[in-house]
Amino acid sequence: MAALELTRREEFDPAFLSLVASFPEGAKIRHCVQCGTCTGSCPVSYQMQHTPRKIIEMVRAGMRRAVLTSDSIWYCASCYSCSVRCPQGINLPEVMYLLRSIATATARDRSAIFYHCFSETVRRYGRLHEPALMLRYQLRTGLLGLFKNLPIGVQMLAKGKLHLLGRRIGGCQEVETLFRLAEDERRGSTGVPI
Amino acid sequence: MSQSSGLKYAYFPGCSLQSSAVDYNRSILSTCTELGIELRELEDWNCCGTTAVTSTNLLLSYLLPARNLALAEEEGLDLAVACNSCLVTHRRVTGCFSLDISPLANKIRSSLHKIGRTFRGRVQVRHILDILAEDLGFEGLAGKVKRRLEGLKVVPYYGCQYSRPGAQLKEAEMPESMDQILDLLGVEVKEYSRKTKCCGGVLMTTKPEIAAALVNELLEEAADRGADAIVVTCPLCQMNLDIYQGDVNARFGRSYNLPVVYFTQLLGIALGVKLVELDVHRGFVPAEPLLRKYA
Repeated sequence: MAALELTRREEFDPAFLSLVASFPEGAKIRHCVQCGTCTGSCPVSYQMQHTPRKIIEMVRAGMRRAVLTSDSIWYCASCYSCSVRCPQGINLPEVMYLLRSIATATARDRSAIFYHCFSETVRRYGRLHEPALMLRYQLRTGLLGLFKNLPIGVQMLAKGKLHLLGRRIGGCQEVETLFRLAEDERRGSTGVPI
Repeated sequence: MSQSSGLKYAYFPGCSLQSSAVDYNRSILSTCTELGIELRELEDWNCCGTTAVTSTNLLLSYLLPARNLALAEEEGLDLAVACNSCLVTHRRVTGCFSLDISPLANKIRSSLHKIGRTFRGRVQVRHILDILAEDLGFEGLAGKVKRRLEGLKVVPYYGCQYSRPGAQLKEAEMPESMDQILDLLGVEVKEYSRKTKCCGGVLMTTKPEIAAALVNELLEEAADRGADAIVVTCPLCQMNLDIYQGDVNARFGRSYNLPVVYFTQLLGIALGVKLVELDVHRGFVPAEPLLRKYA
């Protein structure tokens, strides 16, 4: 615990570890030996507010707010370098997914916004429609990005790598039902999906 | 179609292969036709959700791919996927069903039931690369090679999610299947220590400075190894390395000019498929000048 900065007592929430550990991949963090192989293997840990190793220890300490508001959980690119090297068999990207799922409603990180816009696009069309996704995303993060990405978009269009018109799949109603079921689950007793 | 290999799959192209990676899709279809592998596109498939849905709603990240698996099971076929991320998301679901008792599998089953679908876990998810290397096999491939791509120097870039998670450490970090296929075609495959290093994935959109640094490292080693091109297995890797190569050059003051091609495009050329049917003209960094002499 010496590695963690001093935090006010009320910021430790023991229920947080129980919540994370109630998921199969989350439960494995109890076995973490803090060797730091995950941090050393991670291609983006150098940018994170808290390294992957530290995030695990913070979850175990119950630092709910600090974990869920840190940028660390949104940096993971799911490359699984950490998970294949972890001596304790912890699948850390899955733990990151879990933490994101808990944090998502209030998260303001650009990645969180992107993932939300992506999901909503899939909900509408049943598949990804890039122009719709990018428009949603840029409207929420600033139109400057839209102008920055415009040349690439135009070139993709010229190369036949982009379609302006989105088409909805036949099973959109089925997809919508799956979205609703998953949302109902989130509103259920645990307050998190699954 | 040439003589049938007897191999038949439900084909899940995935969203990228209908837009930014139409070239990958076309080269897969023409190459598999030439090899007598039947790919029957899964009717009315939906997006697998990729890391976006796993990052917003965990249960949904299992339900979306589960619908596709149910559709494949109705056809009685295994699922062929082309994208590394589609591979991982679909395998997360089949993984739940391979356990004896999984509460999650029960939840997936009951949710699918509500949309009138069933999935019993009887579908295997196969990457196109594994279908070629394992299901068809190197011997089956070798007999079909009509033109050898002598003199073409490449680095093989698998991306991070082709062999992870799941495989043992050596295979997970240094896979060999694509090296072996390229070797059969007469291509000079260079050593490449970054075979499975991350390209940044969607961080290229949300945190471009980070992803560009990762892509810069990938391009730098490829150039240092003397490669004429980078060969990939994933549409997102192709996009980050090719479409954003100009951006990386501008950020880091480099002048890389490395075509990024799909392994199915090189395989197609060696099988005698016409360049136009392999869509080699769609890359941002032109690949045609390099490949024309082999066609």
